[in-house]
Amino acid sequence: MEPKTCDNLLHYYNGLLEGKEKDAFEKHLKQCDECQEEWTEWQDLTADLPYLSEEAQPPIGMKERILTNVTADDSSLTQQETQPGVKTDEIATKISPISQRKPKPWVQGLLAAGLMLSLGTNAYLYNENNKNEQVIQEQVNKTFKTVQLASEETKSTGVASMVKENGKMNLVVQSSNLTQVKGTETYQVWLIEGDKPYRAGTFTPDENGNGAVVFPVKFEGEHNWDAVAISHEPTPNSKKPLGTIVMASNL
Amino acid sequence: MGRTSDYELYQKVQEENKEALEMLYDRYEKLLFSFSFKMLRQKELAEEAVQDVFMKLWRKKGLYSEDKGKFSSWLLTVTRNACIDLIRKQQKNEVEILEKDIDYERTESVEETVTWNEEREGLKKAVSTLTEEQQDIVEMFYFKGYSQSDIAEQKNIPLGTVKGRIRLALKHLKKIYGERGDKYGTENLR
Repeated sequence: MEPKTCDNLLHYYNGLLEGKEKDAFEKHLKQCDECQEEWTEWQDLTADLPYLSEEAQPPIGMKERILTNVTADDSSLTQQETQPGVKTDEIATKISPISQRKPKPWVQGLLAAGLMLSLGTNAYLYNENNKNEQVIQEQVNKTFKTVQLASEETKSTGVASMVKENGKMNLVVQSSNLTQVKGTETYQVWLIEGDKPYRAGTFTPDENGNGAVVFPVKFEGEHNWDAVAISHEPTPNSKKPLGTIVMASNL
Repeated sequence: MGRTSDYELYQKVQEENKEALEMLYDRYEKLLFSFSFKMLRQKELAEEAVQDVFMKLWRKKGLYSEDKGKFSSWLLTVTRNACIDLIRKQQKNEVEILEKDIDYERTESVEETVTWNEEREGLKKAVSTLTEEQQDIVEMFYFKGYSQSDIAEQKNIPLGTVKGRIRLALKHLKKIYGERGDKYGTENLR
């Protein structure tokens, strides 16, 4: 037994060893009976602790995102990535929940993960709804900034793009498989900055559940949009989202 | 109880059976997410942790066998490791962790789901018998993944005593919780 190495047990348990130290301890653990015994003791002493966690509600769409991503076949990802004309840096990510924060370094990692998700979802949608997705892909390629939208609860999908035309910014949102509206209900698009939503176009879908909106973005002052969202509103006049947010994505 | 055991599902997952993966996911989504959220205090990261766990289940073969104890305990250990990895990654990027407003799942899953209200209540009672310092130490060590020296510094106690204090607190907890003799507690004493 090497006392110094044995002392690393709790460091190892809490993931504080790296590289050589970690490898060395793992090797040591296999050989040291005392450490093995102690290791089992700590595992046993802590086995119940996770059950102290209060129930937390998973974010909308988590199951779909995770299962799609986990089972995504590597070959289908490669195929998507090499599709001509689709620059990966232009496909921003859905599918992480709305962030009210400016990007931080770690967000990059999430964005990369999100891109994988987005591509995975594309593969899924491609299978589900071949025709629609092809139309969407073409739209994506021409735009300045584009985000994919998808709904957890329904089959609704969409694309929101910021299109710069003669120096003017337009928000173009196109969506399909929307649930039909009744009476005065409409779909309302929102641009979100911080925690403040700005109305950015209202539409009702056609009989096939397709809807689109082109909205000139002309709000006073400088804006740094964090997210775009589509909500299902009871009337066309909501100053703030009153209904259910059906789709949303970070910008 | 005619339900498929976790181990049976796990074996099917090893054969790349997506239905089994989904069943296992439905069974453990809430527990793993809640646990990850307790550790990471951030929903997006908690989701990432859960994803890492299922990624491992799906892509790495032969990680679990019945000699490793109960599947649920093993899965929770894997989850804690995934959370710890994310904590370390975050620390490297010196990231602040903020809790945010995001949308929550509104509907309860109709699938079979592991629930742990009884265990939680029992454990909380047991935890309440610890001193405040012991409670803090357990929280820092187990859920926050602090090093012994960080704990020593924050609690202003000698470094050499940290490990002993954690162990004492956990043993006390185990004893009190184990004494309840409830189904889960006894089952878990291997």
